Amino acid sequence: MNEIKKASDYYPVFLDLNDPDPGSEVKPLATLNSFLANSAALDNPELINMDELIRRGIKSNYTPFQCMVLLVKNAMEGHAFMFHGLLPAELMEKGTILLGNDTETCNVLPLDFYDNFFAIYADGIRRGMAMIAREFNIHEEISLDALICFILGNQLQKFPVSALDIFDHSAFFTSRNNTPREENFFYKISGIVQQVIGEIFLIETVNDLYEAKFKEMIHGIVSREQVLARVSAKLVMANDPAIRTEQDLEKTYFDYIVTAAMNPELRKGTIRVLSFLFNSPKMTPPGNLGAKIKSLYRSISKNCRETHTVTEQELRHPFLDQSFMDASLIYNDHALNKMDPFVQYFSLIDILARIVNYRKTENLPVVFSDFTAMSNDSFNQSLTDEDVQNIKTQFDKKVTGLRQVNFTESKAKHVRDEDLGKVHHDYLQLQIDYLDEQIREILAKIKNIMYDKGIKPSS
Amino acid sequence: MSIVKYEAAEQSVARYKAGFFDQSLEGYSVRPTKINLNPAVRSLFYYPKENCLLVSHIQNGRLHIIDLTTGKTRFHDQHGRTIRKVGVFRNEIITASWDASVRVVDFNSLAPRLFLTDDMMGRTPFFFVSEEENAVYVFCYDSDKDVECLSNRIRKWSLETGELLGITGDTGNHISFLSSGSTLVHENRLYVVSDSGYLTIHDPVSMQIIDRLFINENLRTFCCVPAFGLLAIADLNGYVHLFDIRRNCLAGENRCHFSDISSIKAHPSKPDVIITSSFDGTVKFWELPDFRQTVHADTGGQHLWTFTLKNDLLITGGDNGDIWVFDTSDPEGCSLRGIMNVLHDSIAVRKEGSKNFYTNDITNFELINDKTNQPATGKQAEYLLNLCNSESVIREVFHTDSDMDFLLQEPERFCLQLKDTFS
Repeated sequence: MNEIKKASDYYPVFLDLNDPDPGSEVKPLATLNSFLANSAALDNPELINMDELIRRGIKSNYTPFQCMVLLVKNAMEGHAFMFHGLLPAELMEKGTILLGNDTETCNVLPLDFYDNFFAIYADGIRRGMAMIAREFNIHEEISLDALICFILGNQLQKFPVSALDIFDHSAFFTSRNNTPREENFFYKISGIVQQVIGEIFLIETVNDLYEAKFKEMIHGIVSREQVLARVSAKLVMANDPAIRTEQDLEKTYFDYIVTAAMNPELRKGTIRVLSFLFNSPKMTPPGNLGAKIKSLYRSISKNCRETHTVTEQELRHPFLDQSFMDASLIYNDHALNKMDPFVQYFSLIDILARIVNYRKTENLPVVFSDFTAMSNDSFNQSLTDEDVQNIKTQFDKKVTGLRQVNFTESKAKHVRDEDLGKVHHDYLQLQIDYLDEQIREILAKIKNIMYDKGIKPSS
Repeated sequence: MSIVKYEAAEQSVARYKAGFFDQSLEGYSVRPTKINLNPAVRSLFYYPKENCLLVSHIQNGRLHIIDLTTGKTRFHDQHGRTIRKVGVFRNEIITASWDASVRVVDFNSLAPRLFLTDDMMGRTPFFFVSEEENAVYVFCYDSDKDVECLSNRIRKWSLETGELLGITGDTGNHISFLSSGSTLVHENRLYVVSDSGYLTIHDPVSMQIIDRLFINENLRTFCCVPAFGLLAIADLNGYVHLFDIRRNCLAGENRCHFSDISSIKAHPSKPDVIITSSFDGTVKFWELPDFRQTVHADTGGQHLWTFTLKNDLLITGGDNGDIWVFDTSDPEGCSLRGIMNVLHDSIAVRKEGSKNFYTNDITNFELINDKTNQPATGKQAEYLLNLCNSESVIREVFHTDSDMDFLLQEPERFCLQLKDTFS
């Protein structure tokens, strides 16, 4: 099976500045390849300097808000280079969730950046904002606290800046703005959820790495386990006095296999990791978060239009197909408690960012009509500080549980440590041999039972 | 019929996994390495809302908070010395310590909210939350600091503001050098027992003494048995004295242990049962009013200080640091589920009768070659030791039927082979 091409969750500044037609609703692409072929930015570890960035942002007809987002993205790229040794193109390739070399820890770049923001980058951004204000004749002061919380909280840094033309900088005038506490509160929730999404990404990545490394052995074991289960059931049937002939046995066995395959109660399904976070009964999301989740889902749907209209036998964009399925899974799952709608909301933003970035790099039109779904209005309404703390604790517990049911630590060890991986490989082979022996024994038992039945005269 | 067959098939997969695990570990056994470094356990408290066990120690002031679903362990070091008693009330941890203070911290964030002490306050072995749930009564050994003080004192602190609301020292003079005692509130009366040999009864608001009874024993601790209107008072000689609250007199006594009774509690779900732990290494369940012994859990002579219950699980702690987990649901006698050790920075849980364990620090265990009786080394030994380390062990040891445990759901596709032998 061909591997599905994955899209990044980050769209770098150099592509933003090469976007040929920002500002329109449906935008053509900026090509990463053409940039890589002729790029000074990759050779310049200091990245793009602020004056130049603002000049080019204005030249690209970006709004004041878009220019400010460019500033924040540029500072984050500088942070990624200084603290994680990643150039923007590498950041685009790897994404903003950075896995540690031990494959047991992950660093969510926007959170790391935010933690250092006011100590390292805030002064520079303030100067940049003053320049933007001069260029656009803005006379009111803009709240940096509110702006940074809004951008990182809504994960706007992941998107192409050209997509953000609907936002208005005047919402961040100090005179109009929310109190800093509310902004921080919103960011806290977003930060907690982003960390959870990062942890889930790590778990899924380790699963993928483990699967790739031991794929054949695991398939060998899983298929043999299924055979073992079936022959064990057949052994039970063979012992049934009502079954007297080979034909009886085969017919009952066949019925059993068909029933097991048809009955979802008896069938084990593949469960995506994220779905563990959602359970019934359904809970109504706080505030208008439910409407926002719906709106985001629609936006995803619109940007996966090829999935709905594909007519060829082979899907042209399996990534979009997979993304839409993931989004549908998240959207349709029930929230059990206060924290689940937040995971739904931010997971959908994450998926939307990847889809948009994919479409930009694949030269597909992008629709941003539902971006108004994003704002911090929803998060101040019904949660107290204690709720936030409880949400954090509950997430912590669930993520720990997810790591456990997925054996993430053990898998990471076997992926990371070649010697240990080899021992594991040997034991998997032993396990296969052991399974084969068990299956052979059961088959021999069935044969003997049926033979005994065959030689007995029927009464 | 097909469902029955399917279950048989499922069991066959579980059986082969167990069989393969046994075969892989054949010729090896698992041995703990650092268990002798265990700090002794002084207080245990099970917090059902979060399925957490709180553990304090004699040799240090650390409080461990262990999540019994995930094994995740947190701790706080806010007391400099032994935490003598721990409890959780309204999602806040309350601790009384030998550092002469009581602290109230948030359960989740561990952020401190109240620090209750004064200049003359001595070691504090015990606290009890008032019936109105707005104050805490604290038992203090004030004679530690105040040479003129010949008795233990009870302080009442506001749980809302941290204000000292009252104090009484009218608990009778010490009759031995061993300080001991406890306090509780029941039906608008504050009861105190102490090493003075007195049971004293106070007004819980004014803290003025109303009545007292001289039992002439070194009284250590007590509990209320509302179903019978009794106080069950334990002494240092292994006796439990019953005090009839309504008739205001002693109603009997029974020798329950051959040594000090360290703790006594009423069973949370069986109103006619009290539970005692003792330095003789046993915990016993007693059915009142006849003192019929229903459960006898023996830790092999461990100097037991404390116990707590999680439904039918009895969890004990004492001087050698082992936390024994007994299942008391079997009417034929309680059985040992496993043993937990809480070290300074890690935990280790051993499942009874199994080579499986759980630890968050693998160096707590080593793999022993049965033939040579020496530790096995090399990558294979490391691999097998990792194989024995399973998070599910902590859940299996502490599991009760009432647990709502999402972790017991089906794991994701391609779960680690071999490892899920234990899940």
